[in-house]
Amino acid sequence: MRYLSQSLIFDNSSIYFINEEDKKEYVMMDWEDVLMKKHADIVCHNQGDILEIGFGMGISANYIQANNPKSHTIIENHPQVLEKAVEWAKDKPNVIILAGSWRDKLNDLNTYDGVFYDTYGDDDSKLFSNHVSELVKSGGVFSWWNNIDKEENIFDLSEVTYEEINVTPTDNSYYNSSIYYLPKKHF
Amino acid sequence: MPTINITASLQGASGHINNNASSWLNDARNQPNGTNTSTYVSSSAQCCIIRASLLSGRGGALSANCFRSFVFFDTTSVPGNITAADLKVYGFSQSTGDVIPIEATAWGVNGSSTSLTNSDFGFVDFNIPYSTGSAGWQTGTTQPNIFALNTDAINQMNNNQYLNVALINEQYDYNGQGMFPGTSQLNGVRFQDATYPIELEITYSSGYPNDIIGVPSGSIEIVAGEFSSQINSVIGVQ
Repeated sequence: MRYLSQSLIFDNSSIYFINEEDKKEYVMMDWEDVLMKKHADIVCHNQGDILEIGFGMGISANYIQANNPKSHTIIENHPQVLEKAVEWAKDKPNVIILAGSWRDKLNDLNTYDGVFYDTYGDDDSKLFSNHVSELVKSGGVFSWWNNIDKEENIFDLSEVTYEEINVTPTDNSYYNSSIYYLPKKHF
Repeated sequence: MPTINITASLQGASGHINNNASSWLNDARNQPNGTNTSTYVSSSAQCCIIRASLLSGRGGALSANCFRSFVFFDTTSVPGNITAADLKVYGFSQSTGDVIPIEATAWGVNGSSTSLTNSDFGFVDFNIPYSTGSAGWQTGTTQPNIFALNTDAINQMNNNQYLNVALINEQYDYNGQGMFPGTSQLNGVRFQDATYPIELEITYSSGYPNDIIGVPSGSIEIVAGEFSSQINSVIGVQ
């Protein structure tokens, strides 16, 4: 997988790598902070068991922890990000870190009150919709980073609601719209 | 037989990028228009200007990319009938795909338009390859990538005095093959490089060697419907 072989660069405001065109390809940036808080609050609606797919800069993970969930399982597959996630989790007894992709770890997962999917370079992303209903408890919530600047979702899920949020992204290579459509799917 | 080198007079590239794609074919390769187009009028080495890729980014979104390079040659200066031609292209940086030249109708077909536009992206004919594929891609300056052009290309030059070519990815773009996410084939090209030009090395047959009724032999192209190069004798004079 292309992304997993990239050498990531971490600075105070972003994670990026230098791509084939010798340009910065951003994985995540701190302008998303307000969005990460909203996603975290949505999936932590009952402070239950939370599954987070993709650790990134750890922004959403911190907001999830701020909700004091019963359990917080994080799946991360990039080795550099994984290292940071493991370090971050050391003083958090309710956190479980699973190394690998969500496909690799399906058999290690349970069911959750809230699932937040926010990956980069996941070539299997379209397949996740086949499994999401197995992962979310009845009454649970699924939310994800929505890179589409309209009320659509890559998972082809029905009955998804969207909250329009005004954003001012720093110039980047993945999302530059002034409105973010935060998706929420109840089960 | 004599040869002449002709540098591409018009050089550019057009690509279609779709950052919310489901299918490489439908969302990039088969789109009629490009989204990113450049005309190169000065030296510009481009790493990934022949491209076929379907890559996942943030949140699982797929980005489908198809980029084609377009070059145009004015062959009116060839002083005879073209019998063979090699297209020479110096690569740059990336070399993960094979490349094939095919017929294009960009640049206003006959070179009347000197700026490439987004609509030129779709002005390619997958049914008319001008050579076999590259089987690799040289990116250094030691030697160019050389395509031995076929009769379709040679007839085009002899009949119309130009060659309009698109250089495209062979496996996915030319063959129209579907693509799995995570696939990326990139090839770089040196455009408008005076030292390493995109050029044709044309072999041609010389024309009838004698003046005819005061017309210098070098100015004679066709006599009574016959190309000068195919005339052995005129009224018995060889």
